[in-house]
Amino acid sequence: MSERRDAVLVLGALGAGAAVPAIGSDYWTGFAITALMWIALAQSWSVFSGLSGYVSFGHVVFYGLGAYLVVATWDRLSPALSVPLAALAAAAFALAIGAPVLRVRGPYFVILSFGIAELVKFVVIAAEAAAGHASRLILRTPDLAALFYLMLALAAAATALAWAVRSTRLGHGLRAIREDEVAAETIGVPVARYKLAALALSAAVPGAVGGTMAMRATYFEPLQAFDPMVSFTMIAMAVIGGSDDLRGPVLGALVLVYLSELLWAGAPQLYMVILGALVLGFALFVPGGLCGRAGARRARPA
Amino acid sequence: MSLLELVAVSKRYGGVLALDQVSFTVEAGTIVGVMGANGAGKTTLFALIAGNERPSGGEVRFAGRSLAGLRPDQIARRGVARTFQVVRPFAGLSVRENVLAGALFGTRAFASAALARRAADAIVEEAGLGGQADRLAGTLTLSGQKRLEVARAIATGARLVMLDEVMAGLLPAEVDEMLATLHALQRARGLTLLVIEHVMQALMRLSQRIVVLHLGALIAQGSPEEVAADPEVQRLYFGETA
Repeated sequence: MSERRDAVLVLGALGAGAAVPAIGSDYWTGFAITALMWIALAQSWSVFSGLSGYVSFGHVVFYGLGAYLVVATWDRLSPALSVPLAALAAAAFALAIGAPVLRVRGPYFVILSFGIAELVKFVVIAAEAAAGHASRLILRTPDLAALFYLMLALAAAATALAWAVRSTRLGHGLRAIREDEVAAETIGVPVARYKLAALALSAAVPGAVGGTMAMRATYFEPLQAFDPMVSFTMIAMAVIGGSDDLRGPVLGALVLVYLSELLWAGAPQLYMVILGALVLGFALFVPGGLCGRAGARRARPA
Repeated sequence: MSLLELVAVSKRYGGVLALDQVSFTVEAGTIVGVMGANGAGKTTLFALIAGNERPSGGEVRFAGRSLAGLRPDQIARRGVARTFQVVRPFAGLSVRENVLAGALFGTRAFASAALARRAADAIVEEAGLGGQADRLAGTLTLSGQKRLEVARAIATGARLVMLDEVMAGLLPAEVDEMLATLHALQRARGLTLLVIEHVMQALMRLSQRIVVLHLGALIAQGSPEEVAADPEVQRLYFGETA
C-alpha cells in the first residue's frame, strides 16, 4: 500500500539524516535539529487537525508546557525522565481540556484553541513572576549531538504515530468526522472519544519537543516558549505540504525551514510576508498541499 | 417479536408537536413505507430512531431492547442505519473510502482491514458505483450520491436500514434502477427497510406495508392497497370528493 511506502520513505530519510552530526559541522547539526523539530511538530499537528478537520491554532501550548516541565524540574529530574514526562503531561492536558473544547467546531474551535494557549501562557507568566522568575537558565544540558538524536527520535515517533493512526480505524473515523460529523456518528463512529484520543496523541510529541528545545536553548522564557508563531508555523508547514499525507508535513517543514534560513538573517519581514502569502495561496488554491491527493484524484478520469 | 417497535413516540420543538404519540411496529425482513406530506414528521421519525434527536416522550425499541438514552454511534452499532434526505457524503473521500467507513464502524467486526475492504468493495459494486469507486464522493451526481448514501448505510451491516427519499430528484429511469438495486440489496441480505419516499408510485411498488403520517400523527397503516383505499388518506391526498 502507498501509505506504507510513504512511511518507509519518510522514516528512511530520517534514518539517513542520522549521519549529520558525524559528517557535518555544529552549524549543520543545529540546523538539522531545527528542521527535525518542525517535522515532529507539523507531523503531530496533522495527526489531529489534518485528519479531524478541527484546526488547532494552539498547539504551542503543548510545546510550552513540555518546555516548562523540563526546565522547572531540571535540578530534580534527569532529562531521561523529564522529557517523557513532558510528553505525558502534554497529553494529559489535552485530555483535560479536550472534553469541553472539542464540543465546538469550525472557527469557534480555532479561536478557542488559540485562546487556551494564550491563557496558559499568561498563567505561566504569572506563576513565574510570583515565584520570582522572569526567565530561567538551565546548566549542564546534553551536548548538541545528543539533542540531535533525541529530536530525530521524536520526528520518527511523530511519523510512526501518524502512520499508525492513519492505518487504523481511528484514522478512518477521524476523516469521516472531518468530512461530516453527523454522518460519521450515524454510521457508528464514536466521535467524542475519537476526537479526544486524537488530540491527546497529537499533543504528546510536541510536549517532548518543547522539553528538548528548552535544553537546546538552555533557558526558558514563557513569551518564547508559548509564542503563537510556533502554532502558526506548524500549521503553515502542514498546509503547504499537505496535512492528510504522511510526507506532507515533512515536505512543508523542509520547505519553510530552508526558506527561513535563506531569509531570516537578511530579510526577516520578507520571510513573514512570503509565509503569509504561501499559506493563503495553498489554502485557497491547493487545499491538499504539495502532496495532496484531492487535485490528483479529481483529475483522474472516472 | 418485531424488529422495530415505536411506543407512543412524541417529539416537541418548542411549541410545535412534530410527532404526536406515534406507535407502530416493523417486522424483520419487511419493507415498510412511510408516507406523508411535507412537515408530517417523517424525517423527524428517522432522526429519533437513529438517535440524532431525542424523543420528548415514548420509547423506541429495537430487537427487543430500548434505545432510550443511546448516542447515534451506539445505535448504529446495535444495527440501525439511515440515509439523509439532504445527502451527507464524506465529500473529500473516495466512494470506496465512504463505504469502507461504513464497514469499519457499524455492527461488523472484521478480522482484518483487508476483509473490510473486500466487503466494502462488494457493496460498491452492488450499489452500481463500481465504475466510480475511486472518485471523490463530492464529485458524484445527485443520483450517485444517493446510491452512495445507501451503500454506506448497508455497509455498516445494519439489520434495519432507513432510506430517506433516496429516489427524490432522480429521473424516471434512475428511479427504476434504484428500485431494482434496493430490492436486490434487501433480498441478498434479508434487510429490513423503512422507506420515506415522495415518489408515491415507487413507494407503493417497493413497500409491503405503509404507515401514513399527517401533521405528526399516524393516521393509517396497512398494505399499499389498504392505505390507498383508506378514506382519510383519500381525503388528504386526492381531495374531498374521492
